[in-house]
Amino acid sequence: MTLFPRTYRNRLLFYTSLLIIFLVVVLGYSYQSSRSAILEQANRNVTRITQQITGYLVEGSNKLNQQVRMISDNHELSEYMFIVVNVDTDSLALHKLTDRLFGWLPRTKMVIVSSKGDVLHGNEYSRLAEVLKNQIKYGINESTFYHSNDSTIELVSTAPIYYQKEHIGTVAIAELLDKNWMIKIARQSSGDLFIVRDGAILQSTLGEMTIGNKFHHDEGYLTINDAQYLVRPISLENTKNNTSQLWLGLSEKRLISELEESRRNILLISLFGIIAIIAAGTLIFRNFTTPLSQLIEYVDEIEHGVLPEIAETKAVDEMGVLRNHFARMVSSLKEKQGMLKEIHTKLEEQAATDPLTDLYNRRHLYDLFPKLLSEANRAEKGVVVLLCDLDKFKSLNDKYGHLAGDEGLKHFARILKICSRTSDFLFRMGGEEFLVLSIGELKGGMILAEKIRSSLEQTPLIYEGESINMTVSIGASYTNSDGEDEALSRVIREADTALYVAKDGGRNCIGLGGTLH
Amino acid sequence: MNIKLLTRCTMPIKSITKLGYVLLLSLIYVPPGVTGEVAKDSDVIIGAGAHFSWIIFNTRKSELEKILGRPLRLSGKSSGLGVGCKAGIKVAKENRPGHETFGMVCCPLSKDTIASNGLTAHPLATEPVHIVVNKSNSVKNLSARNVRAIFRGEITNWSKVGGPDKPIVVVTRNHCKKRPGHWKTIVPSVDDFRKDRINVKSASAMVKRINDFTGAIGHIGATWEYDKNDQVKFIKVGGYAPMAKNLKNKKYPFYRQLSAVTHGGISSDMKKLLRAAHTGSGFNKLSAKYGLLPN
Repeated sequence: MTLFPRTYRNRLLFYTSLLIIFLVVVLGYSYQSSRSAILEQANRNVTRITQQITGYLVEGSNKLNQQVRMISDNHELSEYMFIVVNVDTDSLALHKLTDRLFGWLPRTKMVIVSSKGDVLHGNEYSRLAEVLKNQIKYGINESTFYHSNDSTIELVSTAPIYYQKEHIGTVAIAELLDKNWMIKIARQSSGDLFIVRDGAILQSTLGEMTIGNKFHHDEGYLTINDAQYLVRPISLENTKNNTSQLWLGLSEKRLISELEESRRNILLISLFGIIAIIAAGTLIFRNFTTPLSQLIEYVDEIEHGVLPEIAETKAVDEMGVLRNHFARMVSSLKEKQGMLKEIHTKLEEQAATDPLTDLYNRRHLYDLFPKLLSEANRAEKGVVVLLCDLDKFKSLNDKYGHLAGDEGLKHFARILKICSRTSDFLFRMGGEEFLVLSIGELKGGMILAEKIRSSLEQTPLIYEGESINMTVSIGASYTNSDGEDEALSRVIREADTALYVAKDGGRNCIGLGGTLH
Repeated sequence: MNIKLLTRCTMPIKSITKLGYVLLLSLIYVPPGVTGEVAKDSDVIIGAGAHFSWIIFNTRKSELEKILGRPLRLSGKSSGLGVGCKAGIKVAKENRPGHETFGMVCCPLSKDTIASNGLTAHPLATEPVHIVVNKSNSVKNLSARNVRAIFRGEITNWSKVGGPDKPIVVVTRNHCKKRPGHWKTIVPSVDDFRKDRINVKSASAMVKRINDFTGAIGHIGATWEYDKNDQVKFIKVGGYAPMAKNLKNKKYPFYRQLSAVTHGGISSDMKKLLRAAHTGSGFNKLSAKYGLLPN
């Protein structure tokens, strides 16, 4: 015994169910694993974004380096500096020059300090100037570093300035990693940025409310104002005098929102998938198994001898073509069956009928008599047998020929049909001998016999314009014995005896038993 | 036939014939005025060189073209754009039949330069060398001695010469070192200039430095054209303004000679041009404006 479905219908159901189960399992697994997938993705994202921001910073640092070199290499600037330092003039000319030459640079801070430690430009940026002075003090003139300043971090690049090969000062330019920068980067990275110093948030893209909050993360998870963030530090290389740190955070709320969205998508996909599979299955059922089942029903009916009415379909697919072929085949079979029936009826009729007179023949008498007798008995009646023999028929044949004899036989058959009732049965027994079976009483049969005899006597045969008189002798008998096998033989014998009596009595009369009537 | 009708029919034919003659004649005969507009290169006299001499020609360009009956093509707007004295000598040497050129220089060429290049110098005018300071500077006059002392670095604060208590920033332009005149009328040698000074490569750079340093002092030819926003002014020297008459009577001590230079034989047109450049009413107007003394 196999569990594999035997019918196509069941196989289709089986396959569809398998598909739905597979889909549900896969999507269920996806649904279940979506949380870990999202978290994993978030971890990857936060690492990627951290690297991306580090990349921005490196790129910014390189640009800043190029710009500071461009400034330090400018001959006019070094010449002005030389004059300002050596002639001891005010640095207004230097400000004018830096504005004219480098005013277009997108930097917020530029500080120039002489080799003696005097601030020649950018006095307002005292912290940066101090850092620069310290650098010069320790002989460092060229560097890139991060520097803390209140609530911001500055990316600083410095370069020495020479005039006629003599070091006359150092220039520093700074790019602020301030709130605007943080917002810009946060927008690009879809995360949030924090500047943290001494375990507290100095600046963040989450708004003023978060500033001053403690920044204590637990294995990369930070809770601020009941909201959780996945956080990673952003490496700030060459930090100088910088206790501030830059952190990137991805909101858990956002992660959950992404998770829910992902799950919604999974559910939607699964729902659509199941609907699609069911729809596909239904379509296959409708287009394939339904016509197949109908065909099976038709074949079953045909097997039981019934040729069903099959309407042709307009469908042009394989099943439609098969159905139409089948319908035409069944229609053709029906037509053939009708023809066969007709032939069979005809043959049956021919087997029971005398071809000349169109009356039943002797063989049919033996088939019919038992049924007729049973029917008569059910009606509490008997069967009258009238055995008729045309008188002097041989002399008619001899005198007028066999054709005239045949016409005489047909003439008498017509008289029999005219005289008898529709319920009577007429037979030609052979030669010029005929038999009439009539359900009823003997008295009625005798009346019928007389009617036949007198009708023939009074109706001559017209043959080739000549009137030929014909008479008939009739032997009558009667039976009402049911269940008797020999009833027909006996009643015919009795009728035959009565017919001899009528023949011996002069013909054209009716014999019954041993007497004439 | 109706005569009026005939006239109407024949008039257009006559007009077309006339038009044809006119077109044919216009192809054969080119009026003199037209040649000026589409002049051939051989007709053009080309001049290039120092800005300060270029001013003399360029300011009177249309007037000179009219005198010559030939077009002029002049280059020399800024001495900082590679069209200085050297370019003047180079262009002058390109002179040949069918390609007439001359150069413009801001100071007299040395005998060696003239001899080795086969040049002829044509002095045009003596130009005062202005001593310029920032407009914010209250000083309006300096003695020649003080000027020289300042450029030498002997005086380093304006307060020493009646100005504000402000360090003096000396700006120099040591051009044409091997030629006489010009800045050498202030100090004879580059080495004589103050060491901690600004030395610029062009006249425009000189103007920028004077603009930027309120305590600056520099020198520049009188024909320099300033921008309206420039914060530069010239001062009198020894009480004398840089004018032609003060040059002539040698009261104003700082000057240079503006010249044109040619190479080889020159045409009568070129002679006419060089003569017209520093004569006539047009030149007199220039002289009045810039203090030029004609040579």
